[in-house]
Amino acid sequence: MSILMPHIPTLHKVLLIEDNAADARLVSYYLDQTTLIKTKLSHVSNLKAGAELIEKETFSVILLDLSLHDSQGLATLQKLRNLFPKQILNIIVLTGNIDKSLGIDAIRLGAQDYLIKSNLDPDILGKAIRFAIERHQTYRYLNETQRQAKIGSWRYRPSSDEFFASDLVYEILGCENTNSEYLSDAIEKSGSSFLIFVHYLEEEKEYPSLHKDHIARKPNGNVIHIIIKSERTVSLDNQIQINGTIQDITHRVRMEELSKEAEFNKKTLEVKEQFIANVSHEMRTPMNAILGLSRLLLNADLNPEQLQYIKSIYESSEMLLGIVNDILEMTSHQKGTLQLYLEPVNIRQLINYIEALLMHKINEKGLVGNFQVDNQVPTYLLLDKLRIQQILLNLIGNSVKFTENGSISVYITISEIRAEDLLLSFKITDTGIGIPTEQLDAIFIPYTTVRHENKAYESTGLGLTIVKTWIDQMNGSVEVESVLGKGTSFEVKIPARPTELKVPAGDSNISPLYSGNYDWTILLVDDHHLNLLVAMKTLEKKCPGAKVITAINGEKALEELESHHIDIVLMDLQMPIMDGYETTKIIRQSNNPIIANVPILAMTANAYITKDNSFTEKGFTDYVLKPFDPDLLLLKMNKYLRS
Amino acid sequence: MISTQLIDVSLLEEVSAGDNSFKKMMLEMIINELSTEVPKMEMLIDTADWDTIHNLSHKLKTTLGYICGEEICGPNRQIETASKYQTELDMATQNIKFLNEQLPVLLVELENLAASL
Repeated sequence: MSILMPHIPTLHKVLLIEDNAADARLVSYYLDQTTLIKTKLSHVSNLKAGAELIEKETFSVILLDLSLHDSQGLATLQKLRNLFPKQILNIIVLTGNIDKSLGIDAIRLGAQDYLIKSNLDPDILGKAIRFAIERHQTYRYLNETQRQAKIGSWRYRPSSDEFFASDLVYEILGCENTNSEYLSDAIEKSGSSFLIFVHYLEEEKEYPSLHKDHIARKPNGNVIHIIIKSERTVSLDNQIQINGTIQDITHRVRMEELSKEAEFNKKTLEVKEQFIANVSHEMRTPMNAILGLSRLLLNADLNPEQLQYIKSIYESSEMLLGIVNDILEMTSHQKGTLQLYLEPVNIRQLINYIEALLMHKINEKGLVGNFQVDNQVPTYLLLDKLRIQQILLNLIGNSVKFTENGSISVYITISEIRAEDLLLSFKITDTGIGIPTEQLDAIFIPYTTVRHENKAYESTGLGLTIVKTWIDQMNGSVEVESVLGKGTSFEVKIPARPTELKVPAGDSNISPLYSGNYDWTILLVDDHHLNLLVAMKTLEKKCPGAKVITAINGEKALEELESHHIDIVLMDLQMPIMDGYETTKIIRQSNNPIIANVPILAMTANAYITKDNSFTEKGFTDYVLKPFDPDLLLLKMNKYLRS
Repeated sequence: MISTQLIDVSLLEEVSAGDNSFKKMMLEMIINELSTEVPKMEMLIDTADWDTIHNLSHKLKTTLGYICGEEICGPNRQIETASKYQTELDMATQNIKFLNEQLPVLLVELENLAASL
């Protein structure tokens, strides 16, 4: 085990306070001669001059003669220490031959060592200074460590009431250091704070090696939490001595209390949120029933008044369901259960859909709506379709809500082309009432609603928070600019990867599909009859002339592969008897290179397959998501059959 | 004007490409599948047979995609994920009940559409 020892510098400053010039010269000579330590000596001849020098400089050791013109005996040491109460001076006292007992008393009063002048030689002086420096350094480290740990030390002798407490004991208990030598004296001088030792020592009689937590009150009234520990020992003079420590743990206790409080608050909040989520969830079911039934009633034969009532019920229910869904979405976010589902999205179709959905509201208010996707934007991008849709519906819906005259424009463009993806910009601009500047920073904070001239608009204050959450989750950003009375502009930027199915930029109306007669033989493997029907219908329409063979499980598919020349396989993954993974594995291991290398497109309803390229590791050439877009399916087939 | 339909048949329209007899056949298959498979999921809750529920919701995902919007597809997707990973089963149970509650309205709308073809 290694011990990190204090670092001893090469040259030490030593202060000699000595009024005898001959003794001073001798000390100087010995210090020059010694090989044990290198020193730089400063000499003064009285205590006052010594104190002035200590004030200005830091010395490794002070050699102090106790018999000076301006001070005599132990008082010299006490005076010097009292002049520097905040410093721990490293003092070696120098005494004459007859003053040996004086030297021992000096050590009791805090000197590091004593030297008898007549016994000095270079080795004795050098060794004493070196050891004093090392002891002093160690003592300082120990003291500093105790201070950091807020641990003070104390000793007590029951037989004589002798007592010692370190500076930190006094500090912890909030008292001035009285250097009391007896416990009774300490109690008398420092007041009730030291009574804690009396109570402790009473218990210690019955339980030696006691470890006790106490709550005490400082003289200034502050409550402190302390731990007192002790061990009984027998001293060299055969007396029982109790050696102990006292540690201030107030900060730790407070932190534990705060932590418990925070944990309690967190749990309370969780319970509250769960309760709200449960209630919201319970509400959603009857709300859907109300919505569904009022939808049916809207188609019934009603008079205008009845129709208006039902419309109101429907609209109110729809609004209430929106609020409930917002709360559920927020709870889902707080629980960290939101997940992104990336899939190839036709961005133009998506915007057309949103336009169709909102245009009637825009027209109802007499506004002008302008939805545009820049020609440079690739048609197919990997996005979370549902989330993008919800973000846009929320932001555009807000624009419609807060705009009475003018227009709503939605413009989608490429903000930045990056190495692996591009940054898609969705800019929604309205000519509405605008947002007051002082409220702009708060619009994404939950339950914050914008107020205009003391009018609050109907809202849970969750919509924009949820929008921001989704955007953050997609590693995107949102910026808002607004001029009160003139309008607001939101710009959402989302990273998106164009899929290999992108349409040439600027030519979105041109179909990239091959047109002509198809002489392919396609093996369609799916146990779901509806899927088979749709796929066959799609292939019949999109690939005139193509021959389609079907199989309802992997085993059947392998049989068909052996008996026909198959150009491409469309493979469902989840099937009875033999699933798509197992079938693909067997195909890839075939000895027939035509079979082993046939392109296989996984047909899956699981968007997770887009998360990485693990489908290629499983032997698939590519994938199509179900329910599939006929054009996408054909694009992929074209890609692998014509390459 | 308020959208009055629970169904969204845009994809069905796309795949049938104006072929009404094909669309009708699809609708009949979908009605048949939904009316048997959706109630089956609710029955399986009692025995906590989440593997079978997962298989059913997985198959229904494609079917629902042809005729429904997110209002119906979303809960079904949650059922599929929850039953696969055996998490949030309470919510999955609620969603199965929700789908079953919506089923009569959904079937009426699909039947009306099929009858109009």
